[in-house]
Amino acid sequence: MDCGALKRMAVGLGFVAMVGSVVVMVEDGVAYWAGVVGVVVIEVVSVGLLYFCSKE
Amino acid sequence: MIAFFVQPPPQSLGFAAYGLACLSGALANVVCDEFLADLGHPWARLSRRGVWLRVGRWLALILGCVVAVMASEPAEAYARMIGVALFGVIAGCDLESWHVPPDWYTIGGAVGMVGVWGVAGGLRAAADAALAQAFCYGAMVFGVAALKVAAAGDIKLMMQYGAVLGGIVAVGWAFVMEWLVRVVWMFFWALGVASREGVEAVVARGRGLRAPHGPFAWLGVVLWIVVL
Repeated sequence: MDCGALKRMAVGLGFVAMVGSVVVMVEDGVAYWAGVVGVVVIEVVSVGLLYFCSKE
Repeated sequence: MIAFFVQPPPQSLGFAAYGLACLSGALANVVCDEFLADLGHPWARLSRRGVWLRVGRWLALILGCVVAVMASEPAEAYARMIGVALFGVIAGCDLESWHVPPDWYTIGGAVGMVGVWGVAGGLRAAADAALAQAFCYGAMVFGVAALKVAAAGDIKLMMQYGAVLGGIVAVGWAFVMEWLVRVVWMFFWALGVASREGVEAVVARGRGLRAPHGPFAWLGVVLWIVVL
């Protein structure tokens, strides 16, 4: 597995989580809760990729 | 969206206490990082390089949080203080280098604080805190990997920082204040170097300059509360 590409993907997902968290913050109702779940899932995947590559 | 972000932070006794706890964290960090190492025996032992560094920081932070709890009345503020105390101590003490596995420290820190917000303010408060720490995570990963303006260790610090603040509005204001403190610090650093070594030295040494991130982050929170 090419960890360079995975790290770039992790950084990209982190950026998506950052922008997404701001967008979700001003939402309400179902959109807010769905957004929170989405942002957290994206962040967990990003952390997982960084963790995986740090062990390589 | 702009109107959402220009709303002032809530003013309450709980936030005054919050400020005191953060101030204690900032002071403990600045003192331990910047001054104690240069004072010689016995104070140098409390510095980042000394054996007793964590003991000094723990005492300073716990003292600040005791004062903070004494100054707060709402029941919610007590729960907030527990979180602030816990993560102020963690941020100030470098526990990850002292018998605590780094992975547990990083992930458990942010998740634990989101849980504290959930206990204190319900599911919505926990969700706001989760968004705030995700914002900080994304910003710092991008800053470390793409912009090279921060160190890898700043990621975990800022995840905890976002979780402690509990909301993106608070994080945004604290970031602005942190950068104001940072710019003032850099101005005086440049002034000092220029007076001793000349303007060329400022340019030469400025290229590798990295202002301490943690203490300024905590000072940013304090200024956010005091100024607004």
